[in-house]
Amino acid sequence: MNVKKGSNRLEQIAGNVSLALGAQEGGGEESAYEFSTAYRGMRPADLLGEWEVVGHTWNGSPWSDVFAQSAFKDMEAPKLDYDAMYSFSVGNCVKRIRLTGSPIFPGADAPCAWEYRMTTALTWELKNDELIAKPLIGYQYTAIDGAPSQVRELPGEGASMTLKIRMDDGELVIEDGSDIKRLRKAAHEQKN
Amino acid sequence: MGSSLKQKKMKIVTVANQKGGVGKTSSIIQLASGLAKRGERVLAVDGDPQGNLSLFFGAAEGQTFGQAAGQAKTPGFHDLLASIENGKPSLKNSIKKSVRRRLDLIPFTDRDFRINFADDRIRNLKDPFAKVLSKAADFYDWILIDSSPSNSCLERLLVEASDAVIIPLEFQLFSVSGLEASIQEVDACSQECGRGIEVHSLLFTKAENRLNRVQDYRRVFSTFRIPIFEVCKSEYMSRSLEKSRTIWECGPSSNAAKDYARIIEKSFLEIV
Repeated sequence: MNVKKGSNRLEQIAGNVSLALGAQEGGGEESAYEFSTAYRGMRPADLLGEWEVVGHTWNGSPWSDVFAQSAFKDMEAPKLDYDAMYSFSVGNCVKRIRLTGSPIFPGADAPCAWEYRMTTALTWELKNDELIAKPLIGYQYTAIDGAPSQVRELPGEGASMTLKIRMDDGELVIEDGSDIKRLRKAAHEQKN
Repeated sequence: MGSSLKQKKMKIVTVANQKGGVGKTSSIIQLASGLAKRGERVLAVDGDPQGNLSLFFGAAEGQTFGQAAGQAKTPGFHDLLASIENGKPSLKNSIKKSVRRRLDLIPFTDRDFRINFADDRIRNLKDPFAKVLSKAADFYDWILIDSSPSNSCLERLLVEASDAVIIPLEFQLFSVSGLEASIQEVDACSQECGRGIEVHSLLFTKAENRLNRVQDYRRVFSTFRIPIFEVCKSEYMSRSLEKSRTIWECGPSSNAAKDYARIIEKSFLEIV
């Protein structure tokens, strides 16, 4: 046992305890400390399946509002409906985002049906509380009144991203700096 | 990781810490009922004159803790000691059978025990009490003993009758200080009775990740080589205790239940 006696009171007492327990040590180098289930790091198996995004903010604002202000720069940004889903399988993840709204474009006298979809396939691995994801392929699609107005393939083999990941009260929280998503297991995957 | 209690053939286990409020009785409740639920025959011994373990298991279905506290005194631990003192040990009469399936209890309902039963009387009963428990171990897979937060003759009697001790504690300096004193006490008991009594594992109860000091404790204690477990702070635990229900009955899928299940599997039952 290697607890050194330090100036810290906790370390001093722990050092004494360690010495007192010394005769009973089973030996070996492996720590015998077990975290509570509530605080154990996530395992890859915990991620598998479909997850619905139930909250997505950027700097505290709804991500869909931030997106709308960026996508509709020269006009009044419409309120957008947002649906997103992550499907995790072993080593791969497909991320689907769909935004819909009814913007009134400049010169138009009525709102149109606007739709944006983005699908990305990524590889992923889990290291403690970090999710390392790397985009492989993807596309963006925009339609106005049902007719495609823009289809764009995303550049493949993008740089890998390291995201903070944790479970919080049954929800999966993925953090990328100011970008925070809360995901819940899709209803059809939830156990009783 | 050390071997499990089963592997070491240690059947009589006291849950002790000289510091109060660290979760001794709560842990006994969950461990004893959890073992019974897994098919093990368990005798829980309430060795604390406060009698909280007895209150918990004494409560009838639907009865609250407070209602159970108002019940009349029933035979139990104090009568067992008196019968041993009279030379006619009567274990059978002191046992309350089937407080849960496969779980029996020796209750402690004499709150004036420390006034009525002087230390020198208890001191004389150490060996015969240990023999009575050892005999009882022929009929049970486990005997789990709850003790009070003290280091009097009563606690020594309990520890000296045990094969091993499990020490619950909190992420708090006074609690760790109590751990130090408890380990010294176990050592003194070992010397007194002339056989090794093992401090088998430590349980950090009421674990909360958000407390900064928790990380310091984990860092320091992760260098230890005896099994150390965490049980998370849980609303289910307090709620279940109030309703006289075990965590297995009230929140079987809660994190606290999973934590106790892991302790049962690894510390008690695991055969490698």
